[in-house]
Amino acid sequence: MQGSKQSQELIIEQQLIIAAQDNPARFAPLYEKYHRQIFLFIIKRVKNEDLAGDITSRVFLKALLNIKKFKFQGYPLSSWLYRIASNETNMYFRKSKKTNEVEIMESDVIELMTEMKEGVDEDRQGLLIEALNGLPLELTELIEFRYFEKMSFKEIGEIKGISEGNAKIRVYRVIEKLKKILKAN
Amino acid sequence: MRKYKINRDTERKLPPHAVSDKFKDFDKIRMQHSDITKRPKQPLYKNKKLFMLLILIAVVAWVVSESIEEEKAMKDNNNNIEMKEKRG
Repeated sequence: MQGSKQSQELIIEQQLIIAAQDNPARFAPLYEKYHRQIFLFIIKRVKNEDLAGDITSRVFLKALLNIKKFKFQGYPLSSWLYRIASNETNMYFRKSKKTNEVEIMESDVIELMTEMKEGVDEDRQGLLIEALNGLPLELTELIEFRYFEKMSFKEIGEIKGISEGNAKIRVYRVIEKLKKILKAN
Repeated sequence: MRKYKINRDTERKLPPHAVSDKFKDFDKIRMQHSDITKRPKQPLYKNKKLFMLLILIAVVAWVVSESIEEEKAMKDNNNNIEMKEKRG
């Protein structure tokens, strides 16, 4: 039942995308639908309303400029927008040379540690955060998308430009890496 | 560089809708989009500097083609003379 609702939503979204590719003014419903979602994704990272608003506008401008090149492959448009948002925020931090501090909810950390079959006491949580901080961005981003942004492997695959199966393998590889680091401690 | 920090609050404090709505302005994005994508107001040939540049490129191309033609003609001439000398 939920699956058919989702596929119906995707069909509607595909029609909206086709309309926007034909006429940029018709991008408005997609902008309305995803503006807050993308704004929240960015503000979690930059922690500044004005800056988040500015980067969000840049994300949608880029999306509008490139909507004609977008090929619908059965994923919601949000995955593509997250990819642009992620690139834009990373670019901001690279240019400004500021540290990108991301807050993770304790409940999300516990969920991740349970998946890793690790103890969830505060000391172990601290070690996990240390381990995450030591990993390169391209690896931690996978954990972030999966466990902190609650994305499906399909969506992660779309953001990273890889298949769903490959996204799953990569996420579990990072988990294995984290487990090894925690074991060494 | 990315640093993670644990938030031990029970719920994540998200900015209210009023905050995100403050930055929601599709018309502005449409305007920026049309500024970027619309054709330049002035056609290239009406821009004095560009017009001069176009003429300069045309003149250089003409001079180069003329010199090539001339060189070719001289070569042909020389070949004809050589042929005549051989026959003679």
